[in-house]
Amino acid sequence: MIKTIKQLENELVFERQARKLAEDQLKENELEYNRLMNQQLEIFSDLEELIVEKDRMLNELCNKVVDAYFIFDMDGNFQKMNTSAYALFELNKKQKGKNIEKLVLKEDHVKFKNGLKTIREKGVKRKFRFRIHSKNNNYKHLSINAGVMYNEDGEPIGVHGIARDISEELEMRNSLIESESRLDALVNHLDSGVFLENEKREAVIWNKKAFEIFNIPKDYNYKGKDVSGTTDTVKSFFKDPEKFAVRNKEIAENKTLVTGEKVKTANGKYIEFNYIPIYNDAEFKGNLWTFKDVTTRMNRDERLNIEKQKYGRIIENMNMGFIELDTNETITFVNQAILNISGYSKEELIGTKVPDLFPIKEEVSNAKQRIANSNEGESESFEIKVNNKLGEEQIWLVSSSPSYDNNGEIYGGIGVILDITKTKNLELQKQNLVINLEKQRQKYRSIIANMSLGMIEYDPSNAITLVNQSLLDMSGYTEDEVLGKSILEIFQLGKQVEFAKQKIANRRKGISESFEIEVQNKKGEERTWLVSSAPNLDEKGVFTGTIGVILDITDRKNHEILKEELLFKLEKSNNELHEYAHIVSHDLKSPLRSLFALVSWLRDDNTDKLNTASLEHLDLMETTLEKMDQLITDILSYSSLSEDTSENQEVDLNDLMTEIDNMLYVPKHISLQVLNRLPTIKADPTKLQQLFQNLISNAINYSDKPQGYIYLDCEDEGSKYHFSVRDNGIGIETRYFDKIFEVFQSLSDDTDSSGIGLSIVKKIVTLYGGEIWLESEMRVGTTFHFTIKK
Amino acid sequence: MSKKLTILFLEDDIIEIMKMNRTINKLGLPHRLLEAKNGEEAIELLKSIEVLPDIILLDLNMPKMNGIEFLTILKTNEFLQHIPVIMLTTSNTHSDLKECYKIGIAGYMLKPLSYKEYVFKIETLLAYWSANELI
Repeated sequence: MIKTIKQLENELVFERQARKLAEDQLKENELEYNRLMNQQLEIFSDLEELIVEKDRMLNELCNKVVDAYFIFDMDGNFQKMNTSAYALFELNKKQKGKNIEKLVLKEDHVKFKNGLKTIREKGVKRKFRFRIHSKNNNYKHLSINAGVMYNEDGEPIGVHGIARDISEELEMRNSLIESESRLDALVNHLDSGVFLENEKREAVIWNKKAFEIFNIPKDYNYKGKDVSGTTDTVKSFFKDPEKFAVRNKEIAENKTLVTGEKVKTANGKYIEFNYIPIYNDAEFKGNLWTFKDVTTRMNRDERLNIEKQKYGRIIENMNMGFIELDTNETITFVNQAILNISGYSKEELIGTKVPDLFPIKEEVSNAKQRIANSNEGESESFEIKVNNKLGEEQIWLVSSSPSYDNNGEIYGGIGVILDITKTKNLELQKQNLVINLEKQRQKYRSIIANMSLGMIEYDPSNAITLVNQSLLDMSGYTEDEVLGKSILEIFQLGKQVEFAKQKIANRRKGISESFEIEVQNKKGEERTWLVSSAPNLDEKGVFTGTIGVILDITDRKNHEILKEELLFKLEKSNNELHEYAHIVSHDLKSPLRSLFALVSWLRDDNTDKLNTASLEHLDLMETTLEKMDQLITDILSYSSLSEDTSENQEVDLNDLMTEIDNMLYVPKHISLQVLNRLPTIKADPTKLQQLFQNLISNAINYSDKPQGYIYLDCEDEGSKYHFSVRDNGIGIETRYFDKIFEVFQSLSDDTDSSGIGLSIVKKIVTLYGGEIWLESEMRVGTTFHFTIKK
Repeated sequence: MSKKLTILFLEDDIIEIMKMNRTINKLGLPHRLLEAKNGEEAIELLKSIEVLPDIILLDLNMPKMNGIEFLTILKTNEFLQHIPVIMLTTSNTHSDLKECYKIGIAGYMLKPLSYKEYVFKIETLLAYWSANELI
């Protein structure tokens, strides 16, 4: 719509040229006219008729001029105008003589008058502009070149000039100015920095954005500066100034379009720049550089790249298998882990269809459906059983999801694979274990239910959850009566509640223990229970209650009490017996002594009066008294043998034997020999003396050989000493081997033998943890063996 | 030359007393025999007499206060504790012997069954004490 500036300018030039031509012609005409006028004036009088001719000629001349030519008198009244002028001023022939001032727009009157004044005073005015009324456009701009006309006397007679309508021209100029400022605004507000330089590489335009991008001080006056890339000012804008300088020079010399080239600025921005060489009709006019800040985009791209690399590394190095497929389930990418899991190489996997390589052996979690879903674009997790390269069965946990391209189209899928074969197997084992455990539990439960021990289970709130039949029998309650009841209440623990609470608390601490507790059964009878109690833990070790196994020990307890009482009584009666034997013995001994004295006195006082028989009877009385006295002595020593260890001391048996040897009367025909060195024993010396003395005196008493011997021997048998007393006496019949150790069993009629000796011996040996036995052959001899614990 | 002893003889059994008297008479000994049938009587006697006995012959088994109880009282009395006490008893129990010596006796004589033996032992015993210097 709008003609280019150039065109406008050209037209303007043409117009000027035409006008100049017209003016020049006008001047020539004027001169000619003046000459002719002067000629005419010279020949005025005689060439009167010639005037008309001349006038006609002038009119013709006027009319011949294309430009609007007019003449008005000094008052401004039109005198003459050509056709163009009529058209310009929008007048007809009738309006000839109209004052020009009437045509001038009110607003321009002053201007017009001043201009007219200038013309009058100076005689000429060029480009005298003002506006006149116009029918169509209200007004039009006129530009007038006018001059004063003088008569022969040099007096001004009028003004003539050429007028031109410059409305259109002005309008065009205005619109040019307008579009120029618009262009300026546009350039300034562009999001790209714009550098326009002319063919001499001098800066023409730098826009606002350009200042911004390169942080150029706002007041920097760039216009006309040399802005080739090699200048320090421009170079300094960039991070690598030398590199930029080289490239800038290269581009400027090549003068070909450059787009999308990136460069980094000194202030850390990424810039993308374009280069456009400017030509006007193949004539190089300058360079246009545009710069765009793409830092944000670059940073994003860079981050994206870094992320991509990072995830790439993670995927490559992670333990889980990673697989990428296209829509045909053909493998397009695998990571290292999947090679490890499957045993296949990268080459074997990529390009192969998954179902061909890993046919699903068994669906574990509806895998086929899930794979189908996955292909439809859903994310799924499922387990599959597959074979690896070696044919080993594996269980994979697969998490799959579709891959979308930028347009939202599925172009394949990815799968993350975890080999859970081992975990799965462990899980199976664990399950089996749990099942076994449950079986065992059931087994023990049935044992417990049927056993005679009471069993009770209660939860952490002490509410009874399980009892067996035995417990019901023990307590007298029915199952319904106890289940759900508090363990602390049902059995009426009375004062033992605190004790029971403490025991329950122990269970929470995980302590198992046994204790006795007194309870009341349903009938209110007091029972004593031995409770073995343990915390019940679930498989995670969480306390879920207590299990107690109960034994009713009331009867046993009673027995125990009875036993204790008995023992006490026994001990008491033993002591009493002991005391009794002691006292009785002494009390028996005294009368014997009195009797003996009396018998003695009877004989002494009546020796002459009594016959032999009576004297013999007195002797027999004495002998009987002696036997009785011996009996009492033996009973006394037997009954005084106690387990009392308070008299124990280290006894050297060699010393003891010497003592016994001295004490006993050993006839000359009997030899008593100790064959071995005897040990030292910790014991009651009196008892040891009784032991050895009895055995040796027995051997002496029952010796019937002319050369009798008694050998005492001892052997160390580790934990005990083995003693033997061997004689060559009369011997003992085998059938009496056991009997001889019984109290009051004497094998002989010998009055010296009370029959208690061997009983004492046996009692002492038993006291010292030993045994006694014998070997004997009638008329050959007897060997008594006995052991004493060390 | 044997001394004439004053002997306090504690014995509840009449025949035992007869045995002692008969023995002394038989042997023709000059000793003076004071008799008490039990511990209380002996203590009364000791409190009442002007001259204390030279020795005391004491039977272990007596009614009421037994020999050991009497011995204990005697040995804790500062006027009497110096008198030698010789036990005459049928008990040769180790614990009896030990206890008596612990409390403080001057002799322990077992009464033998045989009267002859008894006479011999008493003779020896009295000969010994009559040969001793006494307070």
